[in-house]
Amino acid sequence: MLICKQINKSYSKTILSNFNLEVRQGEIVALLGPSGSGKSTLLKIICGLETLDSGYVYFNGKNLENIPPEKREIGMVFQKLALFPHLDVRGNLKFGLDKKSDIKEIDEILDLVGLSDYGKRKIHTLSGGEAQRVALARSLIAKPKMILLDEPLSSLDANIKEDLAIEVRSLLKKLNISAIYVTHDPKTANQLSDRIVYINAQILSDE
Amino acid sequence: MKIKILIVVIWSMLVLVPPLISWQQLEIVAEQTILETLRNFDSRFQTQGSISFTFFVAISSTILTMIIGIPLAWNLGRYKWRYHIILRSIFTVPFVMPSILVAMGFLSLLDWFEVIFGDNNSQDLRIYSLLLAHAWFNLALVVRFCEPILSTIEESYEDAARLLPSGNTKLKRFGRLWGPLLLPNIIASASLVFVFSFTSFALVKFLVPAKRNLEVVMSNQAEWAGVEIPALGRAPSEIVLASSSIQLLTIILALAISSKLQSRSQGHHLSSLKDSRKEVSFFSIRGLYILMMLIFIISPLFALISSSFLVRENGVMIWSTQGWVAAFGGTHSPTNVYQSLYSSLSYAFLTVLISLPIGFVLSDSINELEKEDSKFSTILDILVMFPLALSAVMVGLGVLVGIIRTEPELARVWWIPIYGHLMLATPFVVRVLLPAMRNLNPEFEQSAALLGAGYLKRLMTIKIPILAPSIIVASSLVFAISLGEFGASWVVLRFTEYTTIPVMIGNILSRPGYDPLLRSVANAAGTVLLLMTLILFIGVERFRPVGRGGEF
Repeated sequence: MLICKQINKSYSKTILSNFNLEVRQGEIVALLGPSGSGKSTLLKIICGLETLDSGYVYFNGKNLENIPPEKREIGMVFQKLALFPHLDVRGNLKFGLDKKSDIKEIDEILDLVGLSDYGKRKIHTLSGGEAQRVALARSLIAKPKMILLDEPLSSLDANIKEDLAIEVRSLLKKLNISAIYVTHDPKTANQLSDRIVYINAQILSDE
Repeated sequence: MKIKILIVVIWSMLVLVPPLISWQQLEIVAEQTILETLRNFDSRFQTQGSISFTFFVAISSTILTMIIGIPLAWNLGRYKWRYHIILRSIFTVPFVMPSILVAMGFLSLLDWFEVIFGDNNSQDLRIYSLLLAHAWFNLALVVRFCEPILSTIEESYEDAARLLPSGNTKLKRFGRLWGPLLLPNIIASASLVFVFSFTSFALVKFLVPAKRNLEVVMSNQAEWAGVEIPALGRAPSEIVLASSSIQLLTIILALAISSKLQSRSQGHHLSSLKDSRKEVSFFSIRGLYILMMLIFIISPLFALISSSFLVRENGVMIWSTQGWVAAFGGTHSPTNVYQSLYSSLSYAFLTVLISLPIGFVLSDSINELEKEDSKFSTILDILVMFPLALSAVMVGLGVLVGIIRTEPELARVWWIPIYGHLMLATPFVVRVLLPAMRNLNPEFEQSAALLGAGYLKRLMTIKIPILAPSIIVASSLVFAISLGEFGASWVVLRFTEYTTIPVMIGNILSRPGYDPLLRSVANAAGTVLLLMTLILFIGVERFRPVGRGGEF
């Protein structure tokens, strides 16, 4: 379970002010708000890529303050996906495994995201939807306890976005992984999440 | 179109004919084939150890340059410094410095070393200073190849890697993300550093006079190579034939690797053209590192300038302007600074005037052939780059043996050196203009054509104005290359009255006997050349397009 308590973050202006959020085990929460409202910053604070000015982030009962990102067991799919261009699909997925892991897991996860024959494909040859699935698979293969999705569907066509949102939801539910999905699109938020949290400038309301 | 074909044919003739004639001439005089000359190459006293020394210097210099250059490229590429543009300019200035100035800068540092610590004549110290000078000279190549990619690479790669098991430590991220991502650029720049260190002439000649690399060996034999005088024997021709063959083969191999890896690197689709650098202060460990690197870059130049005002007497440095007076008075060389500067500027202006249109047409032709997906684009590109694979001394020898030996009356013609300068500078024009032409939106020209503009009008009103910044960069680069050119000019010009400043410096430094004033005179002439190169370089940097990598 994730608890964000009284989170404050400012750069040249205030991004987040006394922000609170709870995500239960297996729950998918959509964070909905306009550009610049601090959605992506919040995700980076949760996974440890950004520091907070004040407040607390608890995950499964542990205060994450001094835990580095790599030890938080939280995965993230970035807006631009960040698939490594020098590696093929299999290479990107392998990046999510440690040395002890069974290499068969790559085939299993490719099956799971419906890309069984894509292992040797170069990243730049993938379509938007395929790249999105690979990015999700790469995060999932590392077996995180929670996954953060930073508008990964934003660049896709409406039809593909709708189908993929449903697919992502069923996949996360199947694996019982908690997730926060950041978006500015209410339709996708509705399709994908169990609950929507609105974030607008510094004012946050839970609905 | 006909003019274009004509220029391409003329360039091919210019590039290929002199070396081919010179090799034929050398074979005739040597009365041996190339393979036969290679057999007893290392047993001659003039060449003994030169192959191993050449490879040792090239490989060691390449490794040292990478050790110094990669961290520098990383710190410039991943972090945003205050006055970043000035910093980048300072770190890339060595590449446009004439090699003879670098040699003099490091010689001056050795002088200071001797005054402060004692003996500077040890061979080891001189070899270390040679390797360091190569690293200094070629540092800009590593920065130019790696820094733009590092600065525009998606920031989220690092974040994404950090959250995954194979990238959760710095070492893992370097080994599995940054290393492989940068490797093609690192190897491409390393290949070029290898080529430049392999063909280094002025630095080896003046910093380690007791040793010879292949370039020095060829230069030493240049006077008699290809001359059919029985009393001289066949040795000079045999030596030059063998040296040039080894050199050409090695350089072509290295350039082929570089070209292959560069095209592979471009296939990664890395650059987002968005600056992803993090801000960092000078008051940090990284700041201290940058400061140390600045001292490394500035110290040889500072030593060169300051040493022009110093004369060494009985092991003590005395401040004096005697060197400057002698340099401008011409008391220690056949020409004075005014005359040499006049020759240098004249050759540089003429080289720009001729190489720019030739380079423009060659770039345009390669670009058009690439659009048609023709394999002739690769052939023409290789032809353009061919003189770089020849090295400066070999170009000089090509001119000397291929043209002057067969037409001796040309030896005293003033314009002959331009030929060598053109061959060495035009490839750089193409390397600057071609990427700019590739990025030019074809719709500009197409819409102008639909509005009724003919070829010439489109060229003058659309193409040239849009390409103007790159044309200015190319012109200044050619001017700087011609101004500082030493290898070819040394072979062709050193006994003529058209001595350029680098050749004047070479003549002064090569004078037999000890004269305490000699170094100061050479340093004074060098300072004049340094100032001119710096002014040009600052002019070039203002027009250089942002985010470009893997170019000159």
